[in-house]
Amino acid sequence: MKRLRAWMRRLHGVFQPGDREQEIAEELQSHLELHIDDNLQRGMAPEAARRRALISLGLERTKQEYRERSTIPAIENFVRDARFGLRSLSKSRGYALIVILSLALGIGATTAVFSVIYGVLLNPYPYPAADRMVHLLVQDTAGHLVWPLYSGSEFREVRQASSVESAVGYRNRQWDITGNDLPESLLSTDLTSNGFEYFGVHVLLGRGLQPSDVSTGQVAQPVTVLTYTFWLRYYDGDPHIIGKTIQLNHVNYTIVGVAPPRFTWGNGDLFLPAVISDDPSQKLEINLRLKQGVTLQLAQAELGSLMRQFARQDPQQFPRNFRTHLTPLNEVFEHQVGPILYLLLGAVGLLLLIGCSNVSILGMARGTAQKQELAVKSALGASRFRLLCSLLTESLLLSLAGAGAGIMLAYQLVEFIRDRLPQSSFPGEAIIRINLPVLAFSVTLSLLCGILSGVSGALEFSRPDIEQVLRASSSKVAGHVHGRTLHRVLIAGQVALTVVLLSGAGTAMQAFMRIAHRPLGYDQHHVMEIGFPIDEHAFATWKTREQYLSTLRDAVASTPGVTGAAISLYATPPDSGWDTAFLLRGHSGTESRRISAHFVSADYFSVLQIPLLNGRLWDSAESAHGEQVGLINQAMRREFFRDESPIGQFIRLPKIGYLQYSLPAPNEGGWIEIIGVVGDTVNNGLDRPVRPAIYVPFSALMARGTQILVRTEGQPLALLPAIRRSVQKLNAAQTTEPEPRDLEEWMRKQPDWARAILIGTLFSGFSLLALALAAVGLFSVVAYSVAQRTSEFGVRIALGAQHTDVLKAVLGSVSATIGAGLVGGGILAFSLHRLAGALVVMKGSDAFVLAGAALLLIAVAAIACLIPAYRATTVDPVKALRYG
Amino acid sequence: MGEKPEVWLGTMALMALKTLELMGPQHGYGLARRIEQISGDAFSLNYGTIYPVLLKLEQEGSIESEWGFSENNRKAKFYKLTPAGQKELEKEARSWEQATQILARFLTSAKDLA
Repeated sequence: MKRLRAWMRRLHGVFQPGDREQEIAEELQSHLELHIDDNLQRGMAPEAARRRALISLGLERTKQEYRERSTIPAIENFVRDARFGLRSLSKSRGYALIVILSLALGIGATTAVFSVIYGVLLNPYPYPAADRMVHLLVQDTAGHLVWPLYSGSEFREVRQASSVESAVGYRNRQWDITGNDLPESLLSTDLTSNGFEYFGVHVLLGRGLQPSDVSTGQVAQPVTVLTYTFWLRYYDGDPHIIGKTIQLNHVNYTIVGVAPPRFTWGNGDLFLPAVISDDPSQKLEINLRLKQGVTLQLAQAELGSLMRQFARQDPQQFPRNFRTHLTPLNEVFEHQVGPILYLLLGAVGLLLLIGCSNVSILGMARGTAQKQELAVKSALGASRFRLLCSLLTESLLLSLAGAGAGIMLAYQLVEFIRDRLPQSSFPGEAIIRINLPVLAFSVTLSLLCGILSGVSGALEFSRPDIEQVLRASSSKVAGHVHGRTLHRVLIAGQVALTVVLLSGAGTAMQAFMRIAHRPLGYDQHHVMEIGFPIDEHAFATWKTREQYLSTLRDAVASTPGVTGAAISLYATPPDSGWDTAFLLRGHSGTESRRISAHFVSADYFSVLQIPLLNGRLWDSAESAHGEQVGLINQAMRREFFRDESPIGQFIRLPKIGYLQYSLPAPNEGGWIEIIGVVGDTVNNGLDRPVRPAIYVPFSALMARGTQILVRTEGQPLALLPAIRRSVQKLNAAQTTEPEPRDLEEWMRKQPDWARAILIGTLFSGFSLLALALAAVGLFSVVAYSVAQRTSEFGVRIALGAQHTDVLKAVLGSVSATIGAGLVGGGILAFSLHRLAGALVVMKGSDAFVLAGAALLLIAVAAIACLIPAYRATTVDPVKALRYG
Repeated sequence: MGEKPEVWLGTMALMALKTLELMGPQHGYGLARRIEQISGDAFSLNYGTIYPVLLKLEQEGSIESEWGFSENNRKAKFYKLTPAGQKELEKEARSWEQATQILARFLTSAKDLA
């Protein structure tokens, strides 16, 4: 206690050196006076009295002992070094700023990108043994994944397979919330009653679904567990929600629990118990957890034979030829964003390297500049240890500042990336936030880096040959050979890495421009899509549903401000169509080919302004009768009717009848006559070629939900309330989907678009930063060499050298270095592009982009070198020789 | 003195505390002189040594200081014992007595044995 108190006082003393010095000086002065008085009284001569008192006191030594006792010397030195460091750094703010910036960029960018990768790819799922969880899928011969639905007995068989530890069945269903003034539709995720246990969910409120929720007679109890977001959105996070009811399709469901935020399986609004039954309308998707130690191959082999058996029983759910494919949870997302994120990590790594080399270049230049100062200090008696400490303190200060800025940057950047990740390209369970261990790691790394660079500089410069340095200081001749070689290597490396980053950014921008400027084939301005869930009981027959949809369309179209409306199922561009197999009458060899089928009303083409190229559109009477007519797009004509006219040919879509919850036309599955050809529209995402497509009347297939595309005079979304009112006038129970889409905005939300923007912005940002850092590095190296050779230039100018000669002398070695860097960077970029191109489908003219990057770099490098080089030509020989 | 500063500081501290207890508030010079006199001039004392000792005691809360005037009207810093210092003195004095007794006994018995 006593000790602690004393230490606290001493620590306190560190920060108030002034008062203390004053006090002890006064006290010792009074001591001397008292002693002299005594001595005089004893009869000493005044001079002797004073001398004796001084000797007896030992003034300076006492002061020193007192000082050491009154503070903690190590800390005091540190504080002094820190003050000194701050002072000397504030004199070279540019240096400090660049070092801090370089470190901050390194820490911030690396941490942010790695955190996103960790959140999205490495650890997105909060489920127990998530690495053993797989989707039970099949792959057709073309390599497409198909998600089959399984009957109750199939689910049981899968669950009992010897490689399977446990399994869960689930499906999504559309519902209307009834019993309220405002009908609203929602999506349920139906889980077999073991679901909450399977996923290891700890509910937020109440309880999860449990086996007793499905009675032995395979009847699901009317109970539900809300998802967190739905609970917040619809019930405003009501803490007393348990026990209340929600009415879905006129049946009351008791709310028994609220799921935690990270449990979003199925992306529904609430969870309902699913029955395990052989009713074909109750089929389920299956996710299963493999037993520990069972490999994917082994399980695939076992389940594969089961799947072949299922395919024989239920051929509609499976492609004709398939391979069982157990898909790990994150595989889907890995394909979508994995390559981009790893590419970004690469870019960030390059940035970090450039930043680090900058720090060491600048550190070296500064160390040389400080050499004389250190020599003077050392000549005045500073120990090597103290010199080391003061150098270290300075680099520690810089590293700390860099780390602080880096942490802030990391937080900003993670949010930036998270907001711009393509929608649905990462699992809903994923939490993208700063990964603290990674942050700690990068901060530690940067502190270490700073300290190491400080130490290496310190070791080199803390034992200067004093005499030589002091004497040589006035003759600034060509610098240290070792230092200059290292500079060259670092500069060339920086240039090379910057070229790689710049050309990467160029390719990314090119990819984005290609997407942004691609002709869409339709006009996305002033068009929106509204989803309408259709009450399957009220409009249960084909005829009533066809009539209802037509009048619904008319109601929307007659709303003031609406210039056109079209029914559209699976047909909203730019990623439209139902992927299906087909047959062409009189043609063979198309069995394995697939096309996109669109179910639309004839207004679709005028609403989207898609041109009719040949033939005719169908009329409403044909649609109302369910006539088997259709239109194809240009791509389909090119691919399947090379030399003949497609009009009058016949096509069949064999699987129309097997879509769930939908009503096919009475004569479905028959031969459809092709009556016209329309222009191509982008229908397979913004970055892929147009797929062959067929358009048939919407009456050929009417699902439980449909969309209406609306063209308006002004802002489409502004008309939404008016359209809702006209629809309510027609049918008060008709709901609309919660999120209508403005097609122009929708395009910007496309994964391709978002991905291109994200890569483009981040890559450009990172590469411009790299360019700036490299330019600063170049600038400081040239400026430093000019400063070193001032007197050499003085002599040259005095001997008659022209400005150009001096410029040549300065730029000669630098341009060789830059050239080497450019060549190295070019080779690196070219080989990396192959890799990156393979990763993210970046098709670009590599050479063109590379040349652009090199030119930009040369231009910036020239500016960075010429400014300090020009200074060399203005050297006044007299001054240079005299003061050097 | 230079070799064992902490031991020396401890001894000096005890002397200073005892002196302050006997004489009441006292300045640094007075304390140093008094210690020198009591020790029978056996310590050829370097007067400056007293100041780090006083600082240590003050940091530990055993003494307090205050500026005042000496008998011949010189400005001087006076130190006085705090209650905590009083306790500290008693404790230290006891343990010191014990130590010297043990040592004395040890030395006499060692003599007997010889």
